[in-house]
Amino acid sequence: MDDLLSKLITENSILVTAGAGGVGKTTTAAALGLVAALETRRKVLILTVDPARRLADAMGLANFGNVVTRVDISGFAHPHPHGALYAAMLDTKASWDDLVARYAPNMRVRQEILANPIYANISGRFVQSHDYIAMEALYDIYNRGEFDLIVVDTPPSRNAIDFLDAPERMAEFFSSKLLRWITAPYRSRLVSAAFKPFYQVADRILGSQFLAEVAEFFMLFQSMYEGFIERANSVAGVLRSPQCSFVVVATPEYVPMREAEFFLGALKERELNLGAMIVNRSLPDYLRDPHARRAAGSMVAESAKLAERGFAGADAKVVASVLAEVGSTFVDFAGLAAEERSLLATLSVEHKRVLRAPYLETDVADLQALARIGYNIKSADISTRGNPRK
Amino acid sequence: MVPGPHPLGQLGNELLSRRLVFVTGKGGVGKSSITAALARISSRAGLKTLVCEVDAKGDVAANFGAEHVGFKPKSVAPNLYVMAMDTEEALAEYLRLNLRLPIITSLGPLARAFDFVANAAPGVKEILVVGKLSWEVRERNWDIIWVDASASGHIVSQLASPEGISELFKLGIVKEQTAWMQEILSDPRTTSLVLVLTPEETPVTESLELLERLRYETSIHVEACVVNKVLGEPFAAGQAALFTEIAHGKYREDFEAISEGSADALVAASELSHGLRTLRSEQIRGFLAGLDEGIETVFVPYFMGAEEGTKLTIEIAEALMEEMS
Repeated sequence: MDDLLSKLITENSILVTAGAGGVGKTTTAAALGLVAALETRRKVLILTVDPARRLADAMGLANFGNVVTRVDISGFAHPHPHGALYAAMLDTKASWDDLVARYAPNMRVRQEILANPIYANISGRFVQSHDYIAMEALYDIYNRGEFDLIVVDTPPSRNAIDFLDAPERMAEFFSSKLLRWITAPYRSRLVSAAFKPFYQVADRILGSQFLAEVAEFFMLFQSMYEGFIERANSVAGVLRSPQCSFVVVATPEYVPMREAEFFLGALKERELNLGAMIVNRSLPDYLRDPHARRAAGSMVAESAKLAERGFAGADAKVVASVLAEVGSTFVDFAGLAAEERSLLATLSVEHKRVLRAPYLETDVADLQALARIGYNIKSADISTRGNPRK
Repeated sequence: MVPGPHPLGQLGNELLSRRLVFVTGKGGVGKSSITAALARISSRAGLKTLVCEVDAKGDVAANFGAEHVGFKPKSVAPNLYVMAMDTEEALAEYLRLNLRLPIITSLGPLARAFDFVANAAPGVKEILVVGKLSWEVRERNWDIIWVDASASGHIVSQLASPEGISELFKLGIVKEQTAWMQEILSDPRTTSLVLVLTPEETPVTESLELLERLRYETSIHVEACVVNKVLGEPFAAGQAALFTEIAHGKYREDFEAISEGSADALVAASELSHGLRTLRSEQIRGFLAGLDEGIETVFVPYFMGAEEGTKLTIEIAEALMEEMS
C-alpha cells in the first residue's frame, strides 16, 4: 500500500473529504474507510451525506435517523480484515432535532421550536444548514469516542468551502445585533425609531405573520444561545486539531481542479491540515509515453500504407480503418492524459501530498469494487519533465 | 419572435421560441458549457439573448472568453449578454422599481438584516431568483433568457417557490407577487427546462429522479434532455473482430511490427476506450428506457481534453445545431 495512504488511515482520527460535485467524494471516503478497516486494527465509521444508491446498498445503509450500521466485511479473505467497519447516513432533520433537544432550556421551548414553521424550513431544506449539521454530527460521534477513525464526506455545497466556516457562521448568527433587531418589537412594545424603517420595509415585503414567526424562532433559539456557541466553537476546534485531516478530491478536469485549488487555498488560510489531495479517474501512465504517441500518430497518418504490411487474408481497407481508429484513440486519450498532467502541475500543493485513483469503468456496486479503488490509490508522479517509461 | 428561417428543426425552433429556459443538471456534467452553447445559437439566430448564472461561481462568462460578470448584464458578443444572479441586488432592484422607497439608497443595515431573514427562510432567496427572472420576462427585456440553473436538487425548490411560499407568507408583497410569476413559469410556451446529464451511472439515476420530482412538485415544461460527453460508437462488427485479432490473435505479430514497440500501449488505450464507450452506451440505453415519452433527447459528443472557453462553446453549439436540425 502507498505510504501516504497508510499514514492517512493510521495517523488520523478524522478524515474529511471535500471537493466539487460529481468527483467521487463519497466513494473516496468509503474506499478510505474500507481500506482502513481491512488493513488496521481500528474501528472505522464512514459517515456519509448523500451516497449513490448502489454505494449505499453495498454498505447496507439505512436511509433514516442517523443509524450506525455495521458493514459486513467478513467476506474479504485477502487481506483478512483486521478492524471493523461501520457506516451511517446523515439525516439532517434528525440531527437538528437532536441538537434542539440537547440545548433547549426546557420542554416547552423545545416543543415550540420543533413546531415553528421557520425551524421546519431551516432544518429540512436550508442548504447551508447541511454544512453545519454534518460537522456537528461528526463532532458528536467523535466525542462519544466509540470509533478510532471517522471518515466523513461533505455535503454538495454551492461552495466546497461553506462547511468549513459553518460553525463560525452559526456562532455569529446567534450573537449578532441584527438578531436583536428582528426580535425587538416582539420582546417589547417600545420599538425604537431606529428599527422603524426596517420594519416598514420588511412588513411590506414579507408580511407581518411571517415576520412574527421569524422573530419567535429567533427568540426561542436565543434561549439556546450559550450552549450553541460553545458547541459551534468546539466543532471548529476539532476540525483544527492535529487528529483531523482533510482530503481534497478532484477529477482531472478543468472545473473540479479549479475548485480543488480554491479549497486548498482555503485550508491553508484557516490553518487546517491537508492530509492528501486525491485525483480520481486518473488516466493510466502508458498514455504519457511519447514513443507510443509517435507510433499512434503515424498509424493515423499512414494507415493505408501500414495495412499492407502483413495482415494476410484481411480486407486492407478494414485493416486501415482499424489502425487509424486505434491510432486516433491513443492520440485522443494521450491528449487527455497530457491535460491531466498539466492541470496537476499547476496545483499549489506539495507534490508528495498528491495521490491518484485509477479510472474505473464501472460505478461501485459492491465492497470488492470499493476495495479495488482503495488499494489502487497511489502516489502521483506529477513532475512535468521526464519520461514515465524511464 | 424567431426571425427568418434558420437550419434548426422543430425542437430547435420550439426551444428558441421560449422566453425563459432553465438549464440544469448535476455538478460535473457540463451544464454551463451547454447553456453557453445554446445561448450562442440563439444570439446568432438574431435573438437578444441573456445568460443568467444562478448559484454563481461567476464563471459562465469564461465560456465566451469573457471575464467575471456581476449582476448587471454584460455584453460578451453581438446580441449576447451575461449576468450572475445576486439575491441581495435583486431585492434592492425590486424595491427600487416597485416600492420607490427612499431608504433603499442606503441599503446597508437592511441588506444585512435581509441576509439574515433570507438565510432563515429559504423560500425568500428562491423567490428572488425566480422573481428577477420572471420580471425580465414580463418586461420583455430579452427575446430569450437561458438560466444556468442550480445543480439538480435545488432547482425544484426554486421552481416550486412561488407555490410553496404561500405556506410561509400569508400576507405582504411577496405573497401578492407569486401569482404572475407562477403564470410565467407554468406556461409551456414561455418557459421550459433542459436537463443536462452525462452517460454515467450516477448522473443517469439522479436525472431520472429529478424528472420525476419536477413532474410532481413543479409545473415546469421539461423540453429536452441533453446527454453530454457521449463517446462515439464502438467498432463496427467487422472492425471489432479484426481488432481482437490485432490485439490478441493472429495479427498480433503484424501489429507489433508496425507499432514501434508500443503495441501494448496502443492496444490498452483502445480497450480502455472500448470499455468506456460500451458502458456509456449501456447508460444511455438505461436512461432512454426510463425516460417519459414526449421528452426529446439530444446527444453531444465528448470533446476530449477541451478547456472551457469560446472554442469549446462553438464546438458544442455546432453539435447541438446538428442534433436539433
